[in-house]
Amino acid sequence: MSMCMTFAVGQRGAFLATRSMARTIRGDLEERIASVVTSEVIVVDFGGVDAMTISFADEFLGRFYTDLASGHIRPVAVLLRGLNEETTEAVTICLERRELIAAALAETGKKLIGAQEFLAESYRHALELRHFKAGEFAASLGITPQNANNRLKRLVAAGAIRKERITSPGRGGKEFSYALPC
Amino acid sequence: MLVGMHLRLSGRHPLLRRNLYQAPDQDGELVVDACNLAFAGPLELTAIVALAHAASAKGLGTTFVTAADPDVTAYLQRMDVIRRMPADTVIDGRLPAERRADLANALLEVSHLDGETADDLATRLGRLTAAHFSSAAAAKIFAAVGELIDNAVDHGTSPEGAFIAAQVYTGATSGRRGFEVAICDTGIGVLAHLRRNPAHAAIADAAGALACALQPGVTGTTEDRGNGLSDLLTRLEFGGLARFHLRSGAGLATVTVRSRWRAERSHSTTTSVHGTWAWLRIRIP
Repeated sequence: MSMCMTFAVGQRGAFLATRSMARTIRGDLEERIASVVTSEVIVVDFGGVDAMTISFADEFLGRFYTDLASGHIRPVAVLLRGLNEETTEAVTICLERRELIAAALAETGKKLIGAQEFLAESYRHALELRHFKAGEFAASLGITPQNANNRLKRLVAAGAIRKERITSPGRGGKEFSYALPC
Repeated sequence: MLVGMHLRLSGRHPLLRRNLYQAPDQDGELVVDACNLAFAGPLELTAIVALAHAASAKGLGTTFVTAADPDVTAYLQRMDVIRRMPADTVIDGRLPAERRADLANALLEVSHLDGETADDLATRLGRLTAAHFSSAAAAKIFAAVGELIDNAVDHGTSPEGAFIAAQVYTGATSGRRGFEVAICDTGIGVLAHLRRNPAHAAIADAAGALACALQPGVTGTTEDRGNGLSDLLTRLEFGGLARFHLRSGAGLATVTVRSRWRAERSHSTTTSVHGTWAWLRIRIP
């Protein structure tokens, strides 16, 4: 079972405007990820945030996901929660500009934001499979193993799914499985 | 520059005009003459205070001539124009006895805007718009105004800071609901800021710099950003009628946004202002 930590952005204010504020909040989030090493899943909760600027979203989430994808932050699964229509738009714009994606929990369930359709479709298949190996993922989508690995790499880099090394008795080499964080 | 000048404010919204009425001041100081001012909004309020502080930073005094219309002077006083002027400002004219009702839900008096105050002021504006407009409209307005605030504290920094004022119009008298905000900073201005980036070092004049600054991805830094003003305009495409003025140096850019239709113009002006003045009015359908 993954240890889950919630980071409540709404406690910082209902209206979030400046890059300066975003830098402070991102610093706090990264510090908590670094200090609570047992947490493998981070829920970034926007409940209580009524509105934000795209500049705020970019300085907070744009840079956070960039650091996560580049390995500057300990690998964790990340789920955004509590975004309303307006704040979703701000986050989507900043992610698209940086060619990043994020998993979010919406009223209709989990979805990827900032993603092109092929990645959104891949995430939907991952949601159905829940715990799977790359070959099963490729078969589900009807794509080549190499293509599947490329997509899985992007989903893992965004913290949308988790990658785990597994040991199979009697078999050598590295083998991995993938799972939804929560 | 409007320092060491006699600036005459007359009629309604005089600072929205392309060219401002000014003459050299004999004593080399700043005189802001509001004697014939008939109607002022957030732009006039914040610009008067920013001008006085820019003059003070150069060691010059300011004389403020109050409006002949007592209602106009009372409004300037209520919106803290007199309170926010440098301490040595000479007030030429009568100030009425101040009657001060709490109108925090309808207006933001002239306030000092810097890195310390920006987030609190943004929150206050967010609450102010949320109290009057639908949650969707209020969020769009906040997202637009928030970009202006972030721009002012990020790029318009100077020891004197910037000044902000805002007002909600309920439509009770005019029949037009809306929101108006102005931010005037005393920073280096848009042209000098953009020229810091080698990619924009060749921009010829202030009007060109303003036209450029409205486009996405244009920044005076070498970072991959510079979408603030472009995002501001995009956020205004929610159905109301919005007008945006950006004045800096000897340039003025005006933008009108109605739903997805947008008209942008930039002009050179005969009057050069210190820093950057931004004014935004949104009419809510």
